[in-house]
Amino acid sequence: MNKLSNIFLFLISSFIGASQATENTLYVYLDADLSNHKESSQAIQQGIEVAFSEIDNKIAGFNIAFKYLDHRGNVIRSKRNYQKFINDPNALVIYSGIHSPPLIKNRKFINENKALTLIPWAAAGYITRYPSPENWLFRLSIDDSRAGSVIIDYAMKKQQCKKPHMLLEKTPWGDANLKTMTEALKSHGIDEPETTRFSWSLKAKGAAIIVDEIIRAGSDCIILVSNAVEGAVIVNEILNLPEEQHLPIISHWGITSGNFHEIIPYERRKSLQINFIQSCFAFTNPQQSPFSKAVFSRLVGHSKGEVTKPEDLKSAVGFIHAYDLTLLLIQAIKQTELTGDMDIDRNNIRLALENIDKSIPGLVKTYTKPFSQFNQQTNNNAHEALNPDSYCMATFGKEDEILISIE
Amino acid sequence: MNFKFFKAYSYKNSALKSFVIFSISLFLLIMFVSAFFVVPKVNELLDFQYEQDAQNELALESALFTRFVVSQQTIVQDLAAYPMLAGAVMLGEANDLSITELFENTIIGGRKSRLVLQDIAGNVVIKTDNTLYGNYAANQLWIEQLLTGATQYHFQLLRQNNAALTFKVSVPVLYNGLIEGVLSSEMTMPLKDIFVTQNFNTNVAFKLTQGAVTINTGTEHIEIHRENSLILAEMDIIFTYVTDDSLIYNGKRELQNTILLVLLFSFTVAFLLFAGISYRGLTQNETGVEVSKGTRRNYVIPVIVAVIGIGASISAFMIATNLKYAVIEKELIFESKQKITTIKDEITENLQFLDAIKAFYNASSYVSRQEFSTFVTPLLFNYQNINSVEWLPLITKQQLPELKAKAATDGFSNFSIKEINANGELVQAKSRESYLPILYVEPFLGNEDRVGVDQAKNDIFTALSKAQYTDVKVATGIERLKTEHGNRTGIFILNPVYENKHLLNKDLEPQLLGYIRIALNMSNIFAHTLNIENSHLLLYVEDITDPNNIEVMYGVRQQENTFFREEALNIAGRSWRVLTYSTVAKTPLMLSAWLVLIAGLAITGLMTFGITYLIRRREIVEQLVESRTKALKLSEKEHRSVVENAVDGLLTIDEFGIIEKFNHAAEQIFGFSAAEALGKNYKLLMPESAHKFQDLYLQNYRNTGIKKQLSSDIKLEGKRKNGATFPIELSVSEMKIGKTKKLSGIVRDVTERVKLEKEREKFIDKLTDSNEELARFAYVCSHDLQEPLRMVRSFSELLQAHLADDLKDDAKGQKYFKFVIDGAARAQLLITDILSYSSISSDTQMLECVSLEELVSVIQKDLLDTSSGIITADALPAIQGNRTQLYQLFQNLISNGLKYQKPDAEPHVHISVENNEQFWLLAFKDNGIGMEERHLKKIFDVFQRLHGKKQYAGTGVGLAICKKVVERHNGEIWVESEVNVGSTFFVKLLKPIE
Repeated sequence: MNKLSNIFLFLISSFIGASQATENTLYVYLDADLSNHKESSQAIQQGIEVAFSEIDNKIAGFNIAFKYLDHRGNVIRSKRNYQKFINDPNALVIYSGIHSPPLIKNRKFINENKALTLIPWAAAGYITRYPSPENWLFRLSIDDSRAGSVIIDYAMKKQQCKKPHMLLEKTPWGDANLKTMTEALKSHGIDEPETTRFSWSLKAKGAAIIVDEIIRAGSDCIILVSNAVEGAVIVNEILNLPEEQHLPIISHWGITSGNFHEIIPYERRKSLQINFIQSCFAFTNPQQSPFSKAVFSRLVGHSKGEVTKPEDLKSAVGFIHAYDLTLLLIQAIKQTELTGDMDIDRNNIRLALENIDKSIPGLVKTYTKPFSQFNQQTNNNAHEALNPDSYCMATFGKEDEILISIE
Repeated sequence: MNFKFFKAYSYKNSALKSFVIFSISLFLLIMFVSAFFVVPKVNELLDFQYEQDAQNELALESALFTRFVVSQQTIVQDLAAYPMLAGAVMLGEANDLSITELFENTIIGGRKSRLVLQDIAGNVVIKTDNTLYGNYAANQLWIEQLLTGATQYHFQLLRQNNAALTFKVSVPVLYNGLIEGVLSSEMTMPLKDIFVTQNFNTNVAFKLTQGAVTINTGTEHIEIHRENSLILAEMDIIFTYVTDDSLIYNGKRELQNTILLVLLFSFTVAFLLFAGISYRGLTQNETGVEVSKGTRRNYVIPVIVAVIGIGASISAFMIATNLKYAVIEKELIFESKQKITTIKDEITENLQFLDAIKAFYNASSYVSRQEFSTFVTPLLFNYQNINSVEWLPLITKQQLPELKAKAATDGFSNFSIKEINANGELVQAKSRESYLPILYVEPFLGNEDRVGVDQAKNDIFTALSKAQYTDVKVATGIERLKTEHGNRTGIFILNPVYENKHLLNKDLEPQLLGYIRIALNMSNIFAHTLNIENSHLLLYVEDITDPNNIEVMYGVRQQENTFFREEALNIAGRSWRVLTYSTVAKTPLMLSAWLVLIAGLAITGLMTFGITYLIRRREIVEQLVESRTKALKLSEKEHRSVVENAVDGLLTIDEFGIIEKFNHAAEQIFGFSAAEALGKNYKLLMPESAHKFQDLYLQNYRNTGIKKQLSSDIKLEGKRKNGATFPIELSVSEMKIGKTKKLSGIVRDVTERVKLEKEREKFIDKLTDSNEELARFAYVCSHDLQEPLRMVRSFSELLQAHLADDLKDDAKGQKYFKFVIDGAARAQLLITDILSYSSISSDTQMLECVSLEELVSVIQKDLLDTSSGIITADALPAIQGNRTQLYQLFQNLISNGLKYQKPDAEPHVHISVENNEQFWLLAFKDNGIGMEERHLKKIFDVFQRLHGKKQYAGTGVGLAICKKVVERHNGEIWVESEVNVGSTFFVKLLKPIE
């Protein structure tokens, strides 16, 4: 009898404990492409989780848990995911990536619904330039509005391109890059650059025609704005041509978002020169700070054996950006108090993000007041944590790792 | 002879008559069975078969319809695979002009497409601007099902406009294999292209029902409706196949007629066969073997079996052939239509290429060689079947220098216009007002030599140039196209290009700029069409535009024994005849049907012969039984009369003693009539004193099965009806009939016999007494007479001696004394002989083994002491007998032989013996005086003498003794004799039985 009542009491107490834990848990959402570009989304998840694990997933009296939603790159599905986030009274913040289009198309919706969005990976310049002082989207990633010129400069100066051929996907992201890259090319004396656009879901046949066109046009390098899926299709067709027709590719970072390296393995792509933009940090660099080493060892522990060496981390930039961004989030939460009412708390965090009062050392750089209040005219880059000086060009290594070109 | 023939003829005639009657009856029976059984049954079967057919047709048609739907789905699916559609649904907007172009320019089923693209929320991303009949509101079940992947596609009936059906096919739009949106295409198609059944419009109709929408192909030509439906679950459509029952009625009538005809035919054949066989039978039966008239009736069944079997086999053959052909033909029609559509679509698709180039020309004021190449080359990637594209501008004489200059800038420094002369050689073109040279050609490589060749003299261009403004595309006849895989059959299609100013200003005459000409690789198109879906078709295409010059375009014409279908295809002014062949030849099908027929006939034959054989056997057995029964009846009759007329009473009882049979004699014996005795216990016939014993007897018999004591000739006491008892003699035998046991008894009334026997016994007793008395008397006589005789003799001798002196001289006294003494001595001898004769009969038969040799030697010694003579004998055996009597026999016979001798002769007796199986035959032969024939029988009687006692001494008893001895030994004695030669006495003595 005594034993029974003990068990009963234990059950009751554990139930109460569990319900208390549920009540005190706040959810960090991730809305990403878990299907088509799984690697980058997983990298982001790990970045968020490792950063929160450093504070034991507890902050301001709340437990932190994670909810991952899959938009598969579909704008409408992303919007539906956002609706789930908005309707969750315990949803603290939502990370979003890796595609720009969902964020571009849903920017108004996000802002109007005060959905606090952190962007570790999505490059379209438009995303963070919401014309209002109350801007709910914060980015720690490459920003096209400034990356375009970095890519073009690299192509023209480093790769000595004479007749670059712009090959961009037919999406708002592609549109944005077309604009900034065309502008950048003008400074290199090319007013009407050769341009080809392609749709998502491009297949081999279509890619072959495009590549043939580029070769016929006499271009000497390709400026590629594409995600990993279509990027792999295009590169594959280039590799089907004789080796002398393998034009160097200077790419936006989209090709690093998925399983590009599996479809085009090292042995196949080694004859081809592919460079792409990344932020200027990589675990694969020989020189690592004690800080980055510590972060990596935590990642190794966290990944439960999946990652043991830097080359194992695919789409590493997702991890790096998400980790740094989460550090900023944690700092912002620390600066404000959590009430448990998410409407109030989200707004407080938003304001706190714009007013981070101390320097936060991260993987890419040390962040000193990374965000501020947005103003279209005077403070257009207010919600961009990175500046072009953090952009570097990179290549794939032998083990598909990303190697940053250190200058 | 004549009489025999007449008899045979009349016998046959009567058999024929009965046969004819039988046949007519059979025919009537068949007709009767046909009318009341076969035809209704056939109708029923026909209905059933028709229903089955309809069901099969329904299944086939619905399968064909499903295939049609799937083929449409494939078209839409191909469209949905365009990358920009995935992009658009992912973004939720059609930001891409190419989508608009795709939507506006796509041709499906020969018409401008009507497309709707929806994102995962069901919102319409883009749709074509023409009328849409479908409902594309979000949150519909079908959209949900497509988006979740629950269904592969959605097919919806929208409306029917006269003979055309409008439907919608929706398929998911995929990105990277995952569903991201829905593309719907509305299509309108003539019903006749959907339902390809050959007899559609005449015999059958189709009805499709999906929700509130019903589509039907028009049923006004159907008199009596018969509907068979099934549900196409995937499309949620009720597919109804409507047939005309009036056809069944016609069909029924036809089939009935056929069946009756077949029946009649089969009957006739069977009849003739049967008649033939029977006639043979009749001719063979001349010898008079009885053929029972009822036999023919038995053969109705095999005949019916044969008739029905043959009928069924033929029907099965017809049905099998028709059904299989129908299925193959339908498949062929469907596939053929599909192929034609595919070919048409493929060509139409290629014609769009012409439209594109034309549009390109219309949009540009001038198209340079480079621009032409840039525009055309990527397009050619997509149009693999276009071998080459050419631009043939209409050049006037005045424009020639300008053209040459432009050509020079393009790298054709020596550009000139050439033409092909009458000899087929390429020469410089003659000067004329206008030229139509091939100016641009793509791909250029391999076609360089064609640049500059004038086509103005080409018939088609001549014709076209003369014509008024026209926008039609015109195809040429067969051309040989050079491809990297060798020569291929192709056609040229050309499209005139006009200055488009006239479109803006209707007053302006349209100005011909030139022609775009494409070379279409028809071999590839046909081959590709065939390769889709592992087709079972063969294709043969010929151009029949010019009936005088029919050209083969593709394939080889097949033999007529394959299923084929002919379709006409009109493309750009050319008429082609397309023959599609099923690879399934007719022969193997026919074979299977023939097999059915042969198998059917074989089974029928086997059954018929089997039944006939069985019937024949039964008949033989029956006839055998009949003849045996007759014989049996006869024998039974005989038996019965024997039994009935028997002097002995015959009766049968069962195990319980119940009388079952009681014959006439028994009636006479017992005084009971058969009716009175049958069913009663047989104790009725016994006196009460015997009842208990009989009960015990039967009980014992029942228990042990042993008929104790009762066997044959049992003497019992019977009881007559009047209660008087009498002696009977009974012999009992056991009968086993199956498991039941019966006892049959033969009863004889022995009252008379018993009486006679008693009398005889009494008589014998008397006789024995008298014999014994006589023997005793003889013995006593002879014995008692011995004493006085001896006294007489001895005292006479004493007296003679006493008186001897007195009688010395008294001769007379001496003579008287001699007479007394001799008389006494003879009386003594006689008495001795009589004594021994009588003692023979009274002697008991003491049998012992007697050696005749010994016997004869003893006699020899005794006799030869007192008399002379010779006694000889063969080797004599030892025999069974009474020694004393045999001694008397031999002694008498031998002494007789020695005694009755001629005075001067030496007596000789010889004893010979003959060994027979059963007896010894002894012969005593002497050389004596012999006897006359007349005396031979007398000599064996007692006291018979042939001679005076003075002549030969003797008492006359000797041979009587011999006879008695032989008789006592169961033998015989006789004599053969000849006077003065001698006598032979034969004695036959039986050998003892071993």
